Amino acid sequence: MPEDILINFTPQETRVAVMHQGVVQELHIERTASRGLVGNVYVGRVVRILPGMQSAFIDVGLERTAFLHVADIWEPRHNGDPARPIERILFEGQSQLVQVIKDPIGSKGARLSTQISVAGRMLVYLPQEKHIGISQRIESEIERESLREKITRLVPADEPGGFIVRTMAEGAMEEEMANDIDYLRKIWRDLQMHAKTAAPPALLIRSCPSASAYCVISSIRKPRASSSTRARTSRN
Amino acid sequence: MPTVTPLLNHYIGDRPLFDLHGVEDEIQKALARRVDLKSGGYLIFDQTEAMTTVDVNTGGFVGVRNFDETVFKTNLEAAQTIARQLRLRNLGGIIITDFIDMDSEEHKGAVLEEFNKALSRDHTRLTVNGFTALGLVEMTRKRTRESLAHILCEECPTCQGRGEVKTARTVCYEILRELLHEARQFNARELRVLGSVAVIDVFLDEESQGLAMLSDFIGKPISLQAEPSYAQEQYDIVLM
Repeated sequence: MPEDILINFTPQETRVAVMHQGVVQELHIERTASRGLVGNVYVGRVVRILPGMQSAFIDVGLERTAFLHVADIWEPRHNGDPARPIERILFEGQSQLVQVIKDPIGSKGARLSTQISVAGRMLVYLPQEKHIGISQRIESEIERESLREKITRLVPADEPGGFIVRTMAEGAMEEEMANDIDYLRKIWRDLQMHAKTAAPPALLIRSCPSASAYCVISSIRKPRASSSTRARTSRN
Repeated sequence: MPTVTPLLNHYIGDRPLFDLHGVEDEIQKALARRVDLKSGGYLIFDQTEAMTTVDVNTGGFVGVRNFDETVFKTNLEAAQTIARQLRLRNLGGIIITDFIDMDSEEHKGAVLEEFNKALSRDHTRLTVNGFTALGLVEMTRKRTRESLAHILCEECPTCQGRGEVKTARTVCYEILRELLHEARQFNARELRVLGSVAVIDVFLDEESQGLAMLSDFIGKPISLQAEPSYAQEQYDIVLM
């Protein structure tokens, strides 16, 4: 089945059309002005700590400082260790790697987490936590076991992080999953390099270059005997 | 990502890519309420708060010997078109389709099968529950992103999304009642009506007599002023 993906990119918006046999099947439109921030990763600066609320306000370069609650601070926790209060974890002026988990709305700033997750097509990468998870939506116990076994084998032994297997991975070929692992690890490596030199507050990665274009592009697979997929991009 | 690079093709033609492949046209069509079918029938899409409804019509396509066959063919084409439009429009939630009534159980089954087949291309999770007691096809489609219409459009400022405005005549009668009320409440020398062009036209033509009668009844002159910037339902009564 021949499939073409047409991408029309302008500074204002990115439009993606998925074509099948010359007929448009799907449209994705994303506007720069209305793009959500969820998933963006920043190096922020802690501007205020409120022990009473067990929260902190972080400057990530947005109009309003963003909100970080102690429950969203990721800490390697050993069994039995009591949770530390926020004033013992952060200090004012500190730079901190954060990810937006909720868009700013009205007068409320964005909500942040310090646990970074990078979503690929089939996997979600959790670089700070060694954990293998399988989406609850994959119901078949046999499929879950087979995916768990596959991913455990594919993840390099020295990998400090973990992965969550998404529903898209159901029935996926090992090679495709391996590609996703490489890709996500590379994004994280690039991000860390960038984080070392960036002066806070700085945006490190946008959730998706264009959520749609990114997802679609990452879905392009190698042409098989009976299929060919091409993507064309245009700037005008 | 590097593995897909050979598949990418940077388009540098003069004619815009989306124009060349008819995508611009498809976007316009995906925003319209009505979608025409090749067989002569048409679909009407309505997105409401509670659900999306799709109505299938033959469009007065008659003249074929076998009426049942025409209905069947129209429904089959509609099934494919609806599945594709749901993807293009990215409609989520409850979707109810009113196919043209079919007597034959066999035809019903075949239309449902065609619908399921066309929907199987969808990447979004969906459930099709089949025909309801009233002969409607009930389904749900998971809401992922916003629908195309929600990204590209806003509520109509003239009708506030109702899709209808009061007729010029309805507005005229409202104004007549309001004039009587104002004349009784306040002591003005003259009353002036500022209204949309369409409403003032009705006052000048069909309803001129009614206006004259009211003017005699309250014993005051009533003048009219057309305001091109007014929407049909908009008017003002000025005491002079």
